[in-house]
Amino acid sequence: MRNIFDLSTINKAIPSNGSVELPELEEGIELEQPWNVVVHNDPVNLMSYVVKVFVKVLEFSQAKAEKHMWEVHKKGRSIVWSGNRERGELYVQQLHAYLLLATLEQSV
Amino acid sequence: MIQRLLFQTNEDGSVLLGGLDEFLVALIRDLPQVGSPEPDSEPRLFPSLTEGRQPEADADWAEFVRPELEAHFQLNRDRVLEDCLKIRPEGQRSFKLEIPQESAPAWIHAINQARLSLAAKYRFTDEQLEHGNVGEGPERLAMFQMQFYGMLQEWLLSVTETL
Repeated sequence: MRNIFDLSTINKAIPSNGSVELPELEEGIELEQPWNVVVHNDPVNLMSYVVKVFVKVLEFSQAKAEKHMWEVHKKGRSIVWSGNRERGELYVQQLHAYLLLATLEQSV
Repeated sequence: MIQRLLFQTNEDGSVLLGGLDEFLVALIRDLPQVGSPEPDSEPRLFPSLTEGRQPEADADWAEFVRPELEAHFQLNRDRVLEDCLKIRPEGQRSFKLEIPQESAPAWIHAINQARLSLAAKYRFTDEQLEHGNVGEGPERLAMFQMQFYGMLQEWLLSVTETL
């Protein structure tokens, strides 16, 4: 059986002391917590309207849209999306365009 | 004399609201004006991005996003104003309004602006909004206006596929 790897190249890359030094991680770099788009309760917006907005903006199914609408109604708020900040801001802008009370919050 | 309101969906997708008396016509014609932003309603019509948790981001939001929203809201109110010019008499004391299919989303939106603006202007509480019980005077008219707009919006939502 033939070895398809040229072991001599690997050996050349490894220092004579036999250890490989890894680059140090820069301080302050850490994984960012996701951002949540939160919809808050509003006694004026009609329930049927809120459901239609969720379907339109967030592309929810009817059942999922209704579930989140009820969560907003009963608990006062519902996280309708989580992810990176830029996309979250876009969703908040679209929800504001439909006059829903939405904010962007970072997960803790 | 109590007139019967007529809600009708036409084959071309337009919707017809008939049996309107002069009072209801006045409320409908008032819709674009009522929804126009005022100091009382502005915080609700143009909410912040983070509710003050990130003042800089909220300031950017007000500077860059709000003008776009204002223009969008204005377009919807203009569309409603245009359709209101086509309100026609039917019979002696009755009027009808035909809303083209393509106008329905603008109406739904403009109604929302108006309802939110009225609630903010008269500082209605959740309980008042739920039960509709307010005192006499302008508050009572505003509550009736909100309820009438709400009924109209509910009907439009039921006959409109998408926003």
